[in-house]
Amino acid sequence: MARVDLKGISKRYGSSVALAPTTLAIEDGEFLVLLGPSGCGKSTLLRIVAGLLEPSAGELWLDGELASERTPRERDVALVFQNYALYPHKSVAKNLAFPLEVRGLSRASIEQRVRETAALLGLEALLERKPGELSGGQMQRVALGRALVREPRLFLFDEPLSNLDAATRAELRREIASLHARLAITTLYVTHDQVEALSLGARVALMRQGAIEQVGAPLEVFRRPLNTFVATFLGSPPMNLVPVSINSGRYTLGGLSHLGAPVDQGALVLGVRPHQIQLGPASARALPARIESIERLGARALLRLALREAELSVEVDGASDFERGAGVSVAWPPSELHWFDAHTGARVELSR
Amino acid sequence: MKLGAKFWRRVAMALCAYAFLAPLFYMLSVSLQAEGHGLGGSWLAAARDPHWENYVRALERMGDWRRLIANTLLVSVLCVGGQLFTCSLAGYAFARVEFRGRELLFAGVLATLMVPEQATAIPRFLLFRSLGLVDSFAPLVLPSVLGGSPFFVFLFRQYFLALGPELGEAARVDGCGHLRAWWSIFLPLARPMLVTVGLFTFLAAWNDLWTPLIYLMSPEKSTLTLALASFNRSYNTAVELMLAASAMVLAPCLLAYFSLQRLFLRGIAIAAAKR
Repeated sequence: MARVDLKGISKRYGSSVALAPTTLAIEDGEFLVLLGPSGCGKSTLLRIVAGLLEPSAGELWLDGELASERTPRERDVALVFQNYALYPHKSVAKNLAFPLEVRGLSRASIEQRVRETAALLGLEALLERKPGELSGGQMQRVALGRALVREPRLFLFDEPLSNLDAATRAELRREIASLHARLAITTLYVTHDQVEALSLGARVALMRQGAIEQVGAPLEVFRRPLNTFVATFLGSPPMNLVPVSINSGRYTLGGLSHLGAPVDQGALVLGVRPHQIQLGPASARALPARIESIERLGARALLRLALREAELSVEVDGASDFERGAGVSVAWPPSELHWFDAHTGARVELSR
Repeated sequence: MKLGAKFWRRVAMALCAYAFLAPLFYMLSVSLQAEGHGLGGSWLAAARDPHWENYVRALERMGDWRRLIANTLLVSVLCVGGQLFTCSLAGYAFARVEFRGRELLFAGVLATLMVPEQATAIPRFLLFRSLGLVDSFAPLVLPSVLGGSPFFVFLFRQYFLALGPELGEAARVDGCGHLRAWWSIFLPLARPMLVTVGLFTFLAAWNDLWTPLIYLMSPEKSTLTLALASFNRSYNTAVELMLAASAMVLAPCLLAYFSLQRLFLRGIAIAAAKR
């Protein structure tokens, strides 16, 4: 178990910045998820914490001790890779035993720890097999075991579920969550999958272009995104963003003027999540729209609506009987509106 | 005509096989013929009346043949061990250890491929003489142990690069230093490469005449190739004895190749597939 403090950690390759100076604290026992599109610097950050990459500047502290200069071995961290990185010439048992052998544990205690770990993860029947004879899910389970077996201070995950099929992914996701609940090892988890981020993380850090855009509890980040990137990256389908112009506190949309803009004058971006939009029968007084397309997904259906100056995604119950080309009216609870600066994309709070 | 590609491929392969097998066949047939025919004897005569005693006489002619075999084997095995150790370690470093000037140094190592051995023979001899190592096995073995062949360093580097970065990272996070990662993870995975490089090195050392000729003087340090060369007298070269000896010297090489053929071919295929 460990507390992790990143202080102004950055990584540059020549003139290109892989990671802008980043300061971040991970509490003892916390599960923190780094979420972002590929190339956003999240794996770079993880590898710096692991000691596999040297930061260009900044300090890494583990439990109040400066660890920037330490080898991976001295940091006592464990890393689970996207492609499992099991040792192909060693059996499952030998893979599990290897980190303990390297640390010079006695044969008896190695055997005991391997047996306990195998039991914890349901690997007993696979111990004599080689990695090549296992399915992807089994291999990642073994990799999980190899990380767990020496009870590290810090657990690092680098997109561990990305190579697995959907069912196995969901199963292992639950397993990782329950392991963390039981063992409470400090965890840093890198993913580009928002479902993993929202379901696993006690906190989520969203990254883009080498910088952290927002850190917070999953629901907080989802409900109060600090900018348009976070707003559209979280949520599927993504939040609708519509540029609107504002005059004396009213914004214009669909040829109608609406109350509730956060500023008196100017141009802002209005955001509303697809599941917050309510549809009704077409009427003269409500915001009119036409249904452009319908995607039926079973329990839910996704509609594309055409307004006069914008398109909206809407998520409705799968049983509703909307038809393509039909006219509807659109409404939303004012409390579910988000406002962003038209230029910077930063969140604008309702101040009145 | 659907005689086609398959037929012509067979013909081409038969020609190749002939080109490779004919000298072997010729060597065997001459080695079994009666004394005094020189290179002109017919293989039919040799087949009708094979003079197996040529092989015994060839051994006698070579003198202390047990010593020759032991010397050659010792040198070859030390070369193989040294080459595998040095080349795999250097290949690992160039593939998996980050250090300043790595690419430049590697380019330098590769550049030495362009320098023919003959060009460095004299400075090298002077070096070994100043160390007092002439007429010992050291000049035959040390270059393999200390330098290795740049081409084999290259092969190992490519092989380790192709394994991807994650295995090395996993080993380091699991607590390995570079040496331990090389020994416990990368070497066992490089078995086809070890066999290929080992076989090449063994053959080169076993068949080497040039280096022993330069450095070895004492008869008790002589190698098989030196003994073979000494059959070649200006008068009275007993061709059948020389070729009988050649056949015996060649046999272990063929044996080594055929017993390791499968692994060897895999190593070649891997080397060819990676950039």
